[in-house]
Amino acid sequence: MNTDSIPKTSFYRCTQIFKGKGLLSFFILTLSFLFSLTVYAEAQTITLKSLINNPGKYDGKMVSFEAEAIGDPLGGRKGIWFNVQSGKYNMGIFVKNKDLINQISHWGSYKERGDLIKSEGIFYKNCSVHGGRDLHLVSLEIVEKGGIRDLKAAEGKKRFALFSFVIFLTLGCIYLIKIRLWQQK
Amino acid sequence: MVISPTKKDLSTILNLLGRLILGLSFFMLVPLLVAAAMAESSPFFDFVIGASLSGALGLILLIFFPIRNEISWIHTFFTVSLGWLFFSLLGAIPLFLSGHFGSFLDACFEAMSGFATTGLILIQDLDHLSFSHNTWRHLTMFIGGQGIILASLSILTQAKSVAVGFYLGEARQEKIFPNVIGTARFIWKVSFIFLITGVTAYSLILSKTGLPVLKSVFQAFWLFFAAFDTGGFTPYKQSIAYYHSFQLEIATIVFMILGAFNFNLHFWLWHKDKKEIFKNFEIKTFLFTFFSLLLLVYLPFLGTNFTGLFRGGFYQLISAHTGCGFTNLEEGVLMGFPLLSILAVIFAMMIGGGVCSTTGGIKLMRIGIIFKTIFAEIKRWIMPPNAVFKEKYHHLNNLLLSNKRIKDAFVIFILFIITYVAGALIAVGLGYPGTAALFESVSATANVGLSSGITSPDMPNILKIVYIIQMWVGRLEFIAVFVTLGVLLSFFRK
Repeated sequence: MNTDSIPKTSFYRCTQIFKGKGLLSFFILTLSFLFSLTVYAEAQTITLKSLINNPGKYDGKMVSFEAEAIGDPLGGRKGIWFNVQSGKYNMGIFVKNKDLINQISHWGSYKERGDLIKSEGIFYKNCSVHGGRDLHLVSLEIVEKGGIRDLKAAEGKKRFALFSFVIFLTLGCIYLIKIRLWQQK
Repeated sequence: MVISPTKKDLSTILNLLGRLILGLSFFMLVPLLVAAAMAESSPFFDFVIGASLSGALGLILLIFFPIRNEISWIHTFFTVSLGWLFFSLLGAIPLFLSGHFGSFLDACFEAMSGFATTGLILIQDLDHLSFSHNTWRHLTMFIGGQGIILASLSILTQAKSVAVGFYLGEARQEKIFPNVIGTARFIWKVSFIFLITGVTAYSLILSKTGLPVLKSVFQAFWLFFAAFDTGGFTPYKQSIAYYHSFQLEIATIVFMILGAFNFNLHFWLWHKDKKEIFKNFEIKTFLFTFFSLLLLVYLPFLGTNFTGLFRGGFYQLISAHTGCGFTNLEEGVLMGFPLLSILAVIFAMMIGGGVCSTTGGIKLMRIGIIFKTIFAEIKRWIMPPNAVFKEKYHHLNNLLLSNKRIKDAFVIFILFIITYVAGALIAVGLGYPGTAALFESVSATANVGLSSGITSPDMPNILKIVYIIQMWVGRLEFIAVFVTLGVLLSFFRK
């Protein structure tokens, strides 16, 4: 965890002022520390593109971004993996608590547009547990429900398919007749 | 003096080409059936169009260009070179119709990448591609890897003597049996047994990760084609990283290595001597180059944990050395490696696997011969001036390091190096950084498929064409292409 981003000044002053003043100092110190943590834990909302292009900048930090859930949830060691896509960028997300992803009802595939989700978690440029770049999910929010994709074949395509098939059949017949004629000769 | 083809020769060549194209249209029936079974209506029509147009062109060539003279090696060299180009053009039709490509050139790039078992991709929104189009993408690698020529020959013709030319033309310089049809059968038999084993293993692993059974089986087929034929396509943009499965990574390594083995060695191990694996020259060269390069990859990673070492270095190096091109790293991570590690991966891609395998690159045998020649030369300097010695190596039999073998190895080596550098210089000229440009050029020529990030739909069209040519000449190892171009030139001069 990157402790540099914790606002040290207020925390440091508190420790100096209340040094050696018993319960009160402990109480104020704790409050001050918790306040620092909330500031630290507030996720930076960014795009997946920005995250992938600047992995060093966000390494070990809480981030959140919107992307489409794609593929399938995959079972891993001590948790679940799933993948998201935003434009031409993709990322693997690790979830310890399976319940977090139960709210995803559509996973992107040929026939379906996946749910647009806002994933919040800690990003690791080089995860020491999984040995790669990933996001450890803390919370998830459905931004927009996915659904069935409109996949009807265009009428022009159907007609052209029929036309090319007829040409193929005609040429096939001509070829067979030609072979017959050769054999007769 | 250059052999110049007559009009009769051209007619014969076009007839043979027609047979191959007809074979391609039959292969398109596989994804067509998948589209029908999976109720993918638009892709179904894409494959009806693709198969019909390919079949029609094949029939036109058969009807209008009969075989007018005895088939010789020149016809087969021509057919092989043109066959790969025509396959890429026609194989691109259903891909382009899918709507996942920015232009027909992009679809041709993808098709050439498949047939040449490269694995570089220009497809957009891959994660929403249909089952049938994915089946076709992966099938192109199986067709290209197992030899489009051998495949079509096995199905369409019984011309045994001609088959030798086809076989040599597609850069598989060793024969396993005197009868090439026998070779084809052996390659099919071995491939089929591995197919059953691989698909079963991958299906089990994928099902275990939670994929539905049908998806597991389909993806197991695709991943097998990509691993064993050292192609490197995957159904997801993140490649193997999508699955986040250590078992799958291990399983893909096994089939990548098997695909990169010389088919002669497979035959020897199956039918003759199992101990050959410990004596074989190519295996020794592989172990030497792999572990030397692994050291280079790992030096900057010292202090990292095992998972990091395996995912960071080992997997990429195996993938590069076998010419497969799978990656278990997220996009952009590989090029974030220290320079020394990237160079090691580039060298591994340059070398490739065994001759008479599905890999590209200079090949282990030639690298071994070049090393051996250098050591022999050093020995010659150290030994007394009048000493006579002969250098040998063991590849199935004890072989003499003859001048012809050395010359052949150096010619191909130099041609590969020139192509690697030329492709890199063109990319640098277009404004890409040197290391990334060299990486991509080597990956295209050696038919690997790992990417430094240059290959994308946004790259200049000229570079797409350059990479298509590099994939084509790299797959055919130059000679068939050069013979075709030389003979064609002499025909037009006449």
